[in-house]
Amino acid sequence: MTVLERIQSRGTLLTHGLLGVLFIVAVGVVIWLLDSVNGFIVYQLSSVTYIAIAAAGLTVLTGQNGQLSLGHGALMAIGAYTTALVLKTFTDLNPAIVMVASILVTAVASIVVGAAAARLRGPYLAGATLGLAVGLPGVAIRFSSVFHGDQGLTVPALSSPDALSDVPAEVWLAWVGLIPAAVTFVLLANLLKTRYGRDFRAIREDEVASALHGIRVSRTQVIAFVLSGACAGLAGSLMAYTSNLAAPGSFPLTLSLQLLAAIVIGGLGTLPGAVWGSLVIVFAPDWIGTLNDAMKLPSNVRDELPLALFGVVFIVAMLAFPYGIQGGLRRLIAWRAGRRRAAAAQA
Amino acid sequence: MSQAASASAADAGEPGALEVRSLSVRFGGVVALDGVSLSVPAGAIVGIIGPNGAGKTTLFNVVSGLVDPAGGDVTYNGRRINGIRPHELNRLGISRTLQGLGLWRALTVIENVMIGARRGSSPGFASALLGLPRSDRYEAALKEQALAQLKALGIEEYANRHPGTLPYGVQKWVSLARALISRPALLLLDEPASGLSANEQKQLIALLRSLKERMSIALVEHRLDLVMSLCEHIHVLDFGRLIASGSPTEIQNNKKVTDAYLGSELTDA
Ligand SMILES: Nc1ncnc2c1ncn2[C@@H]1O[C@H](COP(=O)(O)OP(=O)(O)OP(=O)(O)O)[C@@H](O)[C@H]1O
Ligand SMILES: [Mg+2]
Repeated sequence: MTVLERIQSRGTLLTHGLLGVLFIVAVGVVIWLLDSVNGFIVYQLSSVTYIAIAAAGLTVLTGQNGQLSLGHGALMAIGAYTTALVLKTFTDLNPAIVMVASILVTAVASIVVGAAAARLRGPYLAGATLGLAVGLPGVAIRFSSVFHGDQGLTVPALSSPDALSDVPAEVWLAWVGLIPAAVTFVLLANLLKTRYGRDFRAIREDEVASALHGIRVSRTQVIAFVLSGACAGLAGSLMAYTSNLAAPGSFPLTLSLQLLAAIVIGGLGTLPGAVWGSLVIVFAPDWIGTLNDAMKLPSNVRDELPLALFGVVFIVAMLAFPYGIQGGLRRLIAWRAGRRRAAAAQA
Repeated sequence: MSQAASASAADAGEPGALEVRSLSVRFGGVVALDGVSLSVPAGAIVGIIGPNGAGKTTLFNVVSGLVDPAGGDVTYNGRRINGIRPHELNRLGISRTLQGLGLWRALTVIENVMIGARRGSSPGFASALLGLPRSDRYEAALKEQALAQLKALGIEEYANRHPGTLPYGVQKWVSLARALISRPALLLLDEPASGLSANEQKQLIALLRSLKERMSIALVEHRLDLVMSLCEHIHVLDFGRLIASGSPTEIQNNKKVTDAYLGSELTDA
């Protein structure tokens, strides 16, 4: 028995939990080291933590369960505003409790959206969730007395405990983000291994066969939506902590589209793919911007080019890796294993 | 009879009895079923035959709650089950195979079969999310059960393959395994022999005969030789009407039946 098998035989919770802890420690160290080189990258990595949480929830909903949502940015907004409002009343509340509250509120909202979504298919579902993404920020402006309109609500910064006062703010923020991210991925990975994961995928492929074999299709679809919404709520809460703000401008339609792009680029329906895709979504605009500046083009071209370049990169990437980064990695691993086997056969 | 009672009767291996009375189904202008009454007595293998478009699949669709009838009743073990929801079949001990396989291609063979199992006392969402030992044990037991079902049909070597990569005959067997793992009391088979080789058809006949002890079977099939050799009773549908009912010999000598088949062959040509 290999070490891995021995751990796996101890159960899902222990295996995934251990991987989660290893992940937190390893990435935590990398962040610490990276900060002395480039603090801005570390700040961006804390954005990756919340984008990855939202993307993980979305990839389960869209990639596994087959429900397309263009409205996850709006669900993130619900989480962010919940965080801001809770902190307005209870200034010093533990972030963990604030995040749980944000998850709960967003999950409740997702029950409503999910119940509607379970009745809608294809373009109708896309349209309805698109409406959510476009419409919800308007609520903040309509009810200005609560949500402070366009200006939004401020969120106090996360400060490190006194014992760790040497830790730079951006490092602390990224560290804190790692924990909910790891917990999210562990829980989703647990779930996807069970009956629920199978039911999600079965429904995506064939609803009639699913129902005939005992799956409660609508109920399972609502479960997937609420699960995914809970992730978006957590992501929104973390985003509010990171940007110290919950404002309508932070949740444009493009945020929802970026999340979709992230899960597709990373590899639709795969949890590691949600991480790869989030890294690309957060870092690619900068690289493209640098490239753009280096080309010294006239300003009217330069201003429009990043978006166009992003589109081109996206299309080329999808043509080269139709199953996303994770799909490409899997093929690479399979190919190398095949070569090793061939080499062993020759020897 | 309560649902729990009928489910436990099914678990005890008692075959179930199905009856439909004056069933009518309309799709817009098309009359798919027109006052059809027939029964599948407990422990019987009953054939349902008829030309293309006769309404055979529609009959199964009504029984499984996919199509609402315009009129008539469906009774299972003496209980009216009109308006049943498809997902409730599993609990009642009714399994059905689909004419077009309906396997989940993104899932492995064993996952396909695991989904078909009874959904009795599975651990809840929270223990699945947390990956608790209870959830692990349930999954392991389910996997073992599915593997045993695959073994029983001689296809355990394909457990981790995806259905799309397998020969059609094996896929048919997978869909049978998926239907049988719930230990149904009533099995509804929609063209199980289509696409099978002569040898595979022989295996199918042997399998269905061996199942007879434990379940009643309703068999929709175009291969008449198979129907004639397996079924003690045969119902014939044509344009949504029941045109004949009887033993294989009676059906073979029925003029209406030969006319219906001849008619369909002429229009097919
Ligand atoms: N969902 C539906 N909507 C509209 N018409 C339908 C539907 N399902 C079946 N029909 C029509 O009802 C009639 C009976 O169809 P059904 O599929 O029950 O026939 P069948 O006996 O199973 O035929 P086959 O041997 O070709 O499978 C056909 O005319 C078919 O076109
Ligand atoms: Mg049919």
